[in-house]
Amino acid sequence: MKKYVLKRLLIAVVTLFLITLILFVMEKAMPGSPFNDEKMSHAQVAALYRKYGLDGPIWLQFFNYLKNMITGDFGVSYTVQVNTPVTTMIFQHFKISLQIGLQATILGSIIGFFMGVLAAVKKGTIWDNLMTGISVLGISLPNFVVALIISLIFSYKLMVLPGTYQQTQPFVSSILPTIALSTFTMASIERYVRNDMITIMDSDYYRLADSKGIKKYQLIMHHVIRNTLISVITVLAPLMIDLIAGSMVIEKAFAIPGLGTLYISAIQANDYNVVLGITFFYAVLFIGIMLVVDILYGLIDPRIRLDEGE
Amino acid sequence: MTDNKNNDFEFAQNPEVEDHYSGKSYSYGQLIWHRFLRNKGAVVSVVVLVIITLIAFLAPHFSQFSPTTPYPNQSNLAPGTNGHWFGTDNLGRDIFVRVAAGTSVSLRVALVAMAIDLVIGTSYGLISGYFGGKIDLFMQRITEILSTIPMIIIVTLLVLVMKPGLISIITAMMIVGWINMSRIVRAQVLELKSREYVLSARTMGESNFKIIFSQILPNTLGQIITTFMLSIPNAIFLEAFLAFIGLGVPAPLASLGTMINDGYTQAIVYPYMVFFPVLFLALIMLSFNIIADGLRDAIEGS
Amino acid sequence: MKRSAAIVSTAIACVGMLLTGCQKSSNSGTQNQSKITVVENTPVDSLDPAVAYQESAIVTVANTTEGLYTMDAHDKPQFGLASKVKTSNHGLTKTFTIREDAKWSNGDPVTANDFVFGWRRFSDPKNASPYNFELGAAGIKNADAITLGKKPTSDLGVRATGPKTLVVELDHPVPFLSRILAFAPFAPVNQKYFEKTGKKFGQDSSHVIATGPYKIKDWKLGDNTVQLVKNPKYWDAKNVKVKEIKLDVITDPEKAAIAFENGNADYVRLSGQLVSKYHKDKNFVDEISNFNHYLIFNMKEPGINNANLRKAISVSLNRKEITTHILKDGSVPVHSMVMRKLGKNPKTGKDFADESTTNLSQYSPADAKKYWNKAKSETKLRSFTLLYDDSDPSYSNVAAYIKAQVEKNLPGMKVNLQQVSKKTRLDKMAKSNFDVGISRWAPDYGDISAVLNMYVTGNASNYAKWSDPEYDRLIAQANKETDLSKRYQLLLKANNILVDSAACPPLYQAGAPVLRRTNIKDMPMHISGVPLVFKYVYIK
Repeated sequence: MKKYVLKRLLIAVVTLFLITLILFVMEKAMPGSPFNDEKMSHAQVAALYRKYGLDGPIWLQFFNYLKNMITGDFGVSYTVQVNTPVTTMIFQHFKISLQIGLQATILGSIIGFFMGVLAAVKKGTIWDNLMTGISVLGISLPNFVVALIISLIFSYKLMVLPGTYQQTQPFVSSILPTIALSTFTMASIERYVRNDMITIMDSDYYRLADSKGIKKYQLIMHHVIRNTLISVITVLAPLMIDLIAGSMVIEKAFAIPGLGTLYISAIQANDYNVVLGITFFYAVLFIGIMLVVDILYGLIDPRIRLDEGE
Repeated sequence: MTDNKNNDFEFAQNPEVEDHYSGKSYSYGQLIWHRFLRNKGAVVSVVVLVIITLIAFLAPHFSQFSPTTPYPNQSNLAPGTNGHWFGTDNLGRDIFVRVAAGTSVSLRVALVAMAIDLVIGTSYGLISGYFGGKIDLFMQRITEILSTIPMIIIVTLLVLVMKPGLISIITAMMIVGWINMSRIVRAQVLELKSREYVLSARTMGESNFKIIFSQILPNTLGQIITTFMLSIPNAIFLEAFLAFIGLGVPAPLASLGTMINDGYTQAIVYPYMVFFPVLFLALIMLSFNIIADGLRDAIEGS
Repeated sequence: MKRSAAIVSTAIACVGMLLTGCQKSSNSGTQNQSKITVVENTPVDSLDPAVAYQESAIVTVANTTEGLYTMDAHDKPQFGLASKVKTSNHGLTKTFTIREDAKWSNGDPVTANDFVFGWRRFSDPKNASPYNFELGAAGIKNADAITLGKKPTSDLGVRATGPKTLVVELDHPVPFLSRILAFAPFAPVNQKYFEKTGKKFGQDSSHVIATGPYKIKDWKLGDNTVQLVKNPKYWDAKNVKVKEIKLDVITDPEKAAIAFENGNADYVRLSGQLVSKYHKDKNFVDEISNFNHYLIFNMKEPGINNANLRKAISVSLNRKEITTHILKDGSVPVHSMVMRKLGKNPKTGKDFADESTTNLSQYSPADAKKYWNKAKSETKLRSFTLLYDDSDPSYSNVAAYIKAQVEKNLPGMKVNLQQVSKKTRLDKMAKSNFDVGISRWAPDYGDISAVLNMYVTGNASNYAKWSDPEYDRLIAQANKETDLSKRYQLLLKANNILVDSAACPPLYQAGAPVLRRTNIKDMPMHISGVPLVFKYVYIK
């Protein structure tokens, strides 16, 4: 297990290096520069290039970037929040995304899980149809549409909840974005839980156990739900990354100054260091969560051996 | 199905295997079809989808209005005025015809994404999960790298090289769109391959190819279809997301995504500008989802 | 049964109270309280006067760090930290006296050296201040050479001859100097404080100090809310009426309008389509923005540089139709390179924009055909790409309209549309890698030359790469002319040459409709420089 984790970590480092390299090269190929602006003269732009060390050959720039990166210095922003260290920016914006993302993950997965269990256990009844109906609707409506509908109702018509995120009241103003963000998670989890449970309940070993006269409640709790968890974790992990990393659309719809909003504005402004920094951060987040998922996999289902490759 | 039939001939000497395959494979397709027809919701969805598809591809040709030519003095008419069923937009263009044209764009995006997801994602996930070991590790690294590079960067770069439009969007989806499918399939394969029947097939010396296609693939079908149908909202959503950040289909062309985006900031003024594209989008997605459910139930034989 | 009924009715009552309670407080807005919430649509990028670029940052800096001048509610420059000015040496030397009672919010007195230090930082090419061309526009000695890195910042024509005496030397007299000096980057910087804070200067509210009517309370970069509170150390604090100003960043205008209706905002800018909903609202104010929108033809591109083709395209567009049916936001057609309200004839008081003479911006399908037929024999060009950006949703509508009009009135011509990000558009334009583009420009200081200077041969913002020796000569002459009336005529003549060339046919001046609570007084939108000045605002 230890060896496996170490190996994965080593590979993660290589992956991160490759991502940084590819992105670094790609960024320079993007149209425009951070400083092209109608008010700037060529001399000014050249001065800025010198100031930020963007005038050297690309390999040298990359080398310097890596060197600084190892010491935890991801450079400063060029345009979005001028001269602010990228790490500070990511930390400040991520806090907000994390809050809303976690709220949505928790809300969506708990409701979705119970809906799925209910639908599977009461398969074929009105309950099943109702749950499935809600989840189909949840998947069919993109979350920005949900965002539009709930903000028109609660913010515009009823005027009970703010339609934009306000830092002075971070919880109240995050209620609508959390709901909008959680619908897809909820619907996805419901579907997977239902499908998985039904598959298991149709399987031979379930039928065998059932025929042995084990109580249905026990059977479901011990056998079905335990097995369903594997499936849920695989689905939940990527969903969670999406949510925590900041659903850019939801952040835009509710004017949330989260990481997604920062990412879009950095890309639009060609703010190289910010784009690189956030991408790196997303990558670490992603690789980390996937690693945890694979380890959990092994813990939940011993049939999957982690060190298979050896 | 033909694979199974071929197998029949191959294993003709073995009466046991022949028995096992023959009867079932003959009626399998029909069985699924009958089960599917019993699902009223799914049948209705197919009908709805067919109607929408017809509207999408026919309406722009037969309507008296053009989806692209502006008539500024006819702008922002309410639904039902001057023969505009859904009203007109800011440039006086008929919303019905534009929704139809936009639907066809969105459908094309979704269909291409589906095909790509299916072919690349499934085979990738099968190979990666089944063979495991170094191959799996290597292939997983590739998906990890690909999925950590943000979509918008890829699209921005593609737009740099190509003209902004459908092809850039589809190409971008081609590069990262299949990853989710491959991941799901891999997870499923990882679970299945330590099952008894796969192990026994292996010990009996069946070829990898045959095990994958006759033992593992059919058993992952339910999951594949679910994921596959889920990729449609994903594809349409992605297109709309790109529209949201200004990388969508360029004007005067419109997709449902760009239309929703245009109407989004005016929803309190001209609700119909966003309502109709949303309605079509929701109908398409609902239909695909219900059909997916119906198909899965039919395949799994509930 | 009874009990459950009681619970239900209590619940309903609670919800009802919640609803009505919220509505009541939300609709009250600014009444009975001295606080105004202003919605900005760009996030603050820095509080360092030399670096701040976005409008929200300029508003914040200008209202917290006052300079020599400030603009009053009638758009007239008033003394800020300066109490008087003496002009000598034929208008080339200005000696300012700094107010005795001018203080920083940390208690330090404001000295002439603070201005010298601030302006030198502003001119330093190492800081590459986005607005440093304004030092040259203000005519400050050696400014252009310094911003280009050819002279040290110590050569800048500004020095302190006493703790409260600031001497500014000019290369040439500038009639609008006081107006330009009211702009945010001309703010003083406290050298001692700056050196103490180092790299953190201007990055959050605990690393800035104020000289102006307001100071910043609790803010760090990335926050979408800036709270400004009255600065008790401000020299004129007794005349500052509003205790608190809150700037909220909301990029979506509809969300902003909803915030206004909810009572969460008191001043909100509207986008075009929202105007049709609000134009009868009592809070609606129909302001005009300082942005002129125009086409740019790439004069380096063969075919595009054909004068008849450009003219044909210009007259094929019905600008009235664009403003009244597509934009609907109070935008007005323009027939001059210079926007309305920027300059007046010193003799007659007529608006410069209305004195511009051209018929190339009048819609005429017949003329379009005429020019197009001439162009067809001169060039083989039968298609071009119209470049525009996504910074405003209305551009794609305007572009679609232009495409339709050109294809209708210039038979055989095909227009391709290309929508890109603003950075990409500017990059393409700067590299002359485009055919025709939609562009916009706002003057950076309140003078006609702010617009016309940029069409001089070789100017970095002259994206058309248009060049006319007569034009260059007229502008150079006008920049030296001290007789305001003669200067005006020179600029008018230059403007007409530019418009008649159809290199950059003007389209419209954008409207800037706002929702502003009726009880907020003296808070106009300034057409140049700092858009919002809160010092003179009051609530009635």
